[in-house]
Amino acid sequence: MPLPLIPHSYLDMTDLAVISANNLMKRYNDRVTAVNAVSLKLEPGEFVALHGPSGCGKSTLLMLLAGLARPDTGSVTISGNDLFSLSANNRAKLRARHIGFIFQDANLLPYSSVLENVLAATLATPRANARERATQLLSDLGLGDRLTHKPRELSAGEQQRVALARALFHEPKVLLADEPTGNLDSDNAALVLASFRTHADRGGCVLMVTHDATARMAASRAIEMKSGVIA
Amino acid sequence: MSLLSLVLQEIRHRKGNFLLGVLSVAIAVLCICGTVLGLRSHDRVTESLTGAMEAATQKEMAKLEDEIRKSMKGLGFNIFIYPDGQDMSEVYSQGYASKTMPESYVQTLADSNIVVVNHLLPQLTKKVKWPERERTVLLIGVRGEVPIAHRDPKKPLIEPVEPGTLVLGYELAKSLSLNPGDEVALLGRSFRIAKCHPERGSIDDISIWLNLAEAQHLLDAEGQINAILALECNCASLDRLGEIRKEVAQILPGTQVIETESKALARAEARNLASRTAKTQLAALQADRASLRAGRERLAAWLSPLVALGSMAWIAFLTFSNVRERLTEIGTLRALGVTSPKILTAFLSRAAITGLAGVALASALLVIAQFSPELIQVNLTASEWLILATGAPLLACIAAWLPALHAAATDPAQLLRHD
Repeated sequence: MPLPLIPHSYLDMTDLAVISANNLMKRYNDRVTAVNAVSLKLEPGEFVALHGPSGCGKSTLLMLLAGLARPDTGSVTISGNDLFSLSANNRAKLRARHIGFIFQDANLLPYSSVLENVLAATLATPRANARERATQLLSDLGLGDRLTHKPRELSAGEQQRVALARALFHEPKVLLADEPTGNLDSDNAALVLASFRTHADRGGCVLMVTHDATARMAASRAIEMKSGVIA
Repeated sequence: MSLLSLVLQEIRHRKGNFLLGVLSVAIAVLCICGTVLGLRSHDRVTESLTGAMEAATQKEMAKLEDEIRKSMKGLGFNIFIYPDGQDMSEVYSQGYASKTMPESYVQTLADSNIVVVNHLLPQLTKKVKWPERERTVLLIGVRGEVPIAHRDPKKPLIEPVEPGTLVLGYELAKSLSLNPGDEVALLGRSFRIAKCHPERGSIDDISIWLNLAEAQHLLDAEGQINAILALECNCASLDRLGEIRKEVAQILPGTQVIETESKALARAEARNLASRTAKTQLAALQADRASLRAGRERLAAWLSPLVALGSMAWIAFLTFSNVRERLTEIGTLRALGVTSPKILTAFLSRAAITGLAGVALASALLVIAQFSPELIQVNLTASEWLILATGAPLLACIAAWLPALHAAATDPAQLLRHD
């Protein structure tokens, strides 16, 4: 399967650190410390793999970095903006513009077509020529002939590529992926990893949570987490 | 992609949940409309029933009034004036007075300013043996009306019997095979039968009417009468007999006045009774209808809010169920940068569409019902339709508010976390 190209060169290369986290801590129910004093920094062009045992706090860290969960302590900065000093709505808008998020399950809208799933990104931030861009992205990811199909008509790999197109729609500086290859066969996994690599090469940064050693090896850097802390 | 198209796509995808909501709203709208239209229908039926009853009563009263008028004209408040000293028990038992009074009394009465009586008819009545025919008959000598002097003379109400003629009662004419024109002898004198009355079912059927003067001659009572029949009394008060007695006593002291016929009074009383009964029945009907309406109002007063609340609770449940089913989707949208207010708007829009569709369904059913004569008449005003069209979506939104708020406010990390 040919590797897809991401035909955009939109990234602001002036920021040294696209995203940085400082001393993040997150506890659940005051009993479980999911993330404990984690600090990290992702620079443009970095493709980082985050790995560790189940329950070590990888996904929680990803949520904190995306501003989807509020840390008990610590801060996250994206392109110089302190994420948690913003209101919830402004944080959502910042996320829409600067962060792409990919899940292990593609989490597509089951009632929308492939094209509409990608266009769902415009619910957060409208964009000119959205339909053309979504069509182009899907075509670049080998789904040009599946635009009107519903997610249930796609394979897991195809669904994940739709999710990838949706994540890349607004040309985010940061791509956060939570075990994106966990449900994919090797070909589709390779395709997704190649897309991440391309994104990083074009100046973005990618933080990918994974258990997969192959995926880890595709990254330029690997971070290991254990019991909520970076090892 | 707009929020509305997302909502519509989701509705198409989860038709069952949506249709259950629509049905719930439609049932509530139909129920509320049904109570309102039922009350209006009740009012129309009440109006129709009472109107019909009032019309029937008025018609019946007019008929009775006419009958009374006619009976008053025919019978008047007829009274007999009997001679002084007459034993009235005898009058009641045999139907006439044994005592007599001068015929001139009639003229005295006619020449007076008597205002309560319109017509004066002197008569001499006696039960006698008809020797030529071996029958006992009631002989009645009559003359035409004596004009009341202070009024314009009027045409006599009853025709006087011409001298030399007789008028026979039905039973006499039939049993003796006598016909008008026949010559008969009575108490040694010859008469021509002028007329035979039809059957009256009273003592009239064995009576013979003849000219008063001839009767006086036959009965050896020259210039005497035993009764004055006074017809059509104009009495201002209910105590008409008292009025007449008072006035007659001033003119003919000692005479006795009795009412001869109670039919007119009975009819008048029957009419009054019928009127009172009709009014009572109408009042009872109105009270029944009012009571029924009050009952229906009470039912509507708790049923309508109950149904509305039930529908709202059901929509709240359906929305909550929808939210539960879409937690991952909500988390994904939040991860894409969709704000909480937009998530809230999406769920409230869905509820509003449910409300609108429910109203549309109920309206369609009401319109269809309008074509069926069996069902109640749908006569909602434009403003009521408008209230329905805005109220149902609004109540659906209120019902969906808490689940929608839950969807919008839940931490997206909780929705997406799985490690």
